[in-house]
Amino acid sequence: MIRTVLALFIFALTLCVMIIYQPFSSTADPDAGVEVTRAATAEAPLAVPGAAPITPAPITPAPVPRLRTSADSMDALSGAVLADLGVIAPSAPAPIADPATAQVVAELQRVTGAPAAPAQPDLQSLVAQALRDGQSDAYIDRLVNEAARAGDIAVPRELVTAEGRVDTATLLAAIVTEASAATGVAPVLAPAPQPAEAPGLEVRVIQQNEGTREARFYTVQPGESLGAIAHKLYGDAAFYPLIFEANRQIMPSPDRVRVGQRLVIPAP
Amino acid sequence: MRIRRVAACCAAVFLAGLSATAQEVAITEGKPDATFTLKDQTFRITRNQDTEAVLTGEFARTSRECPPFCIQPMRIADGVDTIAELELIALLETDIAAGRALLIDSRLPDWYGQGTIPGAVNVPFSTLDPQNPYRDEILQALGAVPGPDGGLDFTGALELVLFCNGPWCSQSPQAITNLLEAGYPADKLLYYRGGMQGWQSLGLTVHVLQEG
Repeated sequence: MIRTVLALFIFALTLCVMIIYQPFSSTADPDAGVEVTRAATAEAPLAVPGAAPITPAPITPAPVPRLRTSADSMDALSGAVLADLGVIAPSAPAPIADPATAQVVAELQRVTGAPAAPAQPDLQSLVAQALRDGQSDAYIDRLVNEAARAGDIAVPRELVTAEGRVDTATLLAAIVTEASAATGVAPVLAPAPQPAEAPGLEVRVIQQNEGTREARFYTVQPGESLGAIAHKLYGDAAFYPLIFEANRQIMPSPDRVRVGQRLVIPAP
Repeated sequence: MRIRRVAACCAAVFLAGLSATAQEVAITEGKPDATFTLKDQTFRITRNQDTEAVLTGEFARTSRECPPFCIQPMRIADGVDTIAELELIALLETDIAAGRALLIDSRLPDWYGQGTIPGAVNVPFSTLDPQNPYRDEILQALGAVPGPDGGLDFTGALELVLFCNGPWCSQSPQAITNLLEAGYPADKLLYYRGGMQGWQSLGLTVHVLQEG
């Protein structure tokens, strides 16, 4: 009895060892012609009969291409376009928001001479020419984005959308607003949506020691630039530095806005 | 006749002595001054001719608190050369006057206004901090060009000589560190370690922009 149990036990043990180590299977086996290593899994899927080959899924999304950005603000740009079109008198370039930096740049430009004139067409002349030709908004959008993608033009940072495109809608709206302000004619545009009804905006009432405080947050929607958000929430894209300053920790520069990003919206 | 000749001789000797007194303190032997023009403004560097002069006021102090006013090393970073007064004066007369290089005072504007090295431009160290979102504007004013990948191309950037208050001042070393981090080539940066302390201790001309 004991001998039988012992024999069975030894047989079971041998079977287990055979299953684990598979001494008779070798690379010569025609069914396992591919030596599978971890690195090779993507190219050589395991030859499991009936199973669909595994296709590697992209782990990281394709990086959003960064457009060339310029120091000029959109305000300066829309003014320059109108000056180009002869609607308003040309003005001095808009100051850099930080006075210390503006002073340094002015001093450096005084010593080193004025910056060289751009050899390539710039965004301002591109838009002005298209408007002069009576082109559609869609045409201008395509034209500007093609030039920006090719790196031919630099765009204001607040006009770069979450997808890395140029927000021409906000630019054209600013040009129309500025033109109507300059000529005294009311714009024929639809009014900007009221902040309260803007999708993506949430208003929270925060309890504090003395009374309550209203905090506003905004979730970036597809296709939006920082300038568009400022236009939507403050009525003027020129307010974008306010949002940028309040969200510095999650936004390295004004042209790096991301869809779904939750931004703090400070009171104007 | 003879008396007249003696008198003429005496007068000649006296005048020679007088002119010798006027040029008693030169920059180097045979070089009493350095003159250069920068953007239509002519600067002349000489030394204080009063051989009894001593430093007074802020730059006579020897023992500022450290930190923050700690002694700076001779070499700030690999590839950044450190220079002294004669090299700086030579650069002012050549590369800086020709617009190929810039002398940068890294101190804050009030210090710059109270007195700086002739020909210096004020770029406070704080404006080169990575926290300044407009730093690229300064780098572009220094000759950097935006590249196609969103970065900056420093190929055409100016050579810079940076200084601050002296060997105990960390502002220009900080500015150099920040410039290097921003991608500025080390071989385009020079450090004048002597700063205002070294400059003034030799009685060299200080350019004052404002009273204060």
